[in-house]
Amino acid sequence: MVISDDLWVQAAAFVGAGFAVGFGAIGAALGEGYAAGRAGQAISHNPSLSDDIVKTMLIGQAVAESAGIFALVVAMLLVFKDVEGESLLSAFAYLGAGLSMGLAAIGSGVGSGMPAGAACEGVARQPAALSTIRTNMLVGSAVCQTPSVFGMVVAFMLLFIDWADRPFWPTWAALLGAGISTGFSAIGPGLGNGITANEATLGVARQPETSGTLTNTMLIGLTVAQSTVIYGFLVSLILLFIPKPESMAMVAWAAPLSAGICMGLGGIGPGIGEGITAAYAVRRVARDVEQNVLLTRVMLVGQAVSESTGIYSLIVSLLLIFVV
Amino acid sequence: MEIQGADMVRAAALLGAGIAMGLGAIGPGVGEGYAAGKACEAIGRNPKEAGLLTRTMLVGQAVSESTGIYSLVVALLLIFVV
Amino acid sequence: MESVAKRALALTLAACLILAVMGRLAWAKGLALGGLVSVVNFALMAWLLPKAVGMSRRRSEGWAFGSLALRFSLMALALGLCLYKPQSLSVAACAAGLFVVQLTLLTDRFLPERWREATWGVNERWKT
Repeated sequence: MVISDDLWVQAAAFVGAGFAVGFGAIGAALGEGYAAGRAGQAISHNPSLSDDIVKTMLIGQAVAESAGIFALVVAMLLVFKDVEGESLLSAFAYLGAGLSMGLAAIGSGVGSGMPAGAACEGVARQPAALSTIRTNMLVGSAVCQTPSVFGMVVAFMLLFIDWADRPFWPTWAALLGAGISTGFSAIGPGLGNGITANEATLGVARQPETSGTLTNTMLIGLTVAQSTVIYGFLVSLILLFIPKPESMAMVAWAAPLSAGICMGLGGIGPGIGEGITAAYAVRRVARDVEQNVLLTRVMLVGQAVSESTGIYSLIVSLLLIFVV
Repeated sequence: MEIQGADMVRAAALLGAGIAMGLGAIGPGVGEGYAAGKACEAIGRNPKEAGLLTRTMLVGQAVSESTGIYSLVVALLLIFVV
Repeated sequence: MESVAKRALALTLAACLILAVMGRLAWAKGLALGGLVSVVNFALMAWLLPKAVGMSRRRSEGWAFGSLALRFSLMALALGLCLYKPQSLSVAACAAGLFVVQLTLLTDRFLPERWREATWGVNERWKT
């Protein structure tokens, strides 16, 4: 039996859609369950505030869900994609799109559940600061969604650009590698940002009058922690837009695929680690706001050093793409 | 398509380099971040010792970094020597 | 919560009217569908998720997953409808419409105090 190219492409589109919505839903559900659990604890501490706590949780959840909805949109586009006459290369583009979007949505979903949970706890402790706590939570969760936006951009590029004029060997590996690179490297910053935003929200609940300084310190930490997903995105762009000559050799496809895996996995650790650094810094700033300048400086130094392994991964990826 | 031994070995070496550096970057990344976080906490408690604590943090991070550097070395060996 | 839903609907309606006046009927209809589903999704969440409060961690995650599956299939249905009839319902507008509630929540901060009080629930009891 001969299976036509169209059928393969169709199958790949369905599998990609499954990756996108499956991983996206796992991330969103873990985040929502976590926030609901902490809301339950908060209510048991302070039952008279259950109404405010539940409202806070819902506001947090609605924003935390955005990454899941991005993934759903990408999945539906994949399911309804008209595959007639598409070359086999599209199959790998669709798989890559699903991986990129789905994996990126995991980190953002889980990450933005954390500030939502922290806000519930904070409202139970310090109900007078309700509005300040919610604002910080919203800023934190919204920033947690950024890594998934990178995943979505890569997924859209893989979906809508016509790759048919490229040679099948080795372009398929570059398309798949592009999806893996941004997808995996977005997990770390998503989780790390959640850890930081969690502490910042608790800090605002502890000392509402310092919320301006705290939110600023948090934003600096979040921005730096996001650098690895930007590396991942950069590697994806290079893989997608610098065409390689046709070659049947195994080396020709192993190098771009390996570059994607290298940058993708390498982005996870520094993203989480830098988030932990920023979380501790923000926690101390919440206790003693005078130390803000000193702590921000130490945080940036610490984050820069944690970043180094991400930079090694970037270097190895670039070597794999350009030198080999 | 004829698969040639040398080509296959080289391809496997490149894939190995990517996986080595990728996985090898996870541990040091988290560990160094944790060390830096604890240093921030300690400096917040005792800002007078900021210089000493920052130095200690950097030494600790440099040691945690070593596994990352091993991965880098292995990856470079796999790319350029194999 | 009700006022968030109301404001999201008003925002959708205004955007739809502008698009309709501009003659982009497919965009307007897609946006209306997306915005409506977004609000229904939010209402369903407000109904289902508080039930997960007080469950054990594992059960609450399971419950969240179930409610998510239900709400995602609703949104998938709307997107599927648009993709099935792309001439009369714009997919991009529908996808944008799905984020109306999130947009409302995130921009709430910049609204005048007088409007915010009602939706934001700055609790009078705790005001000092």
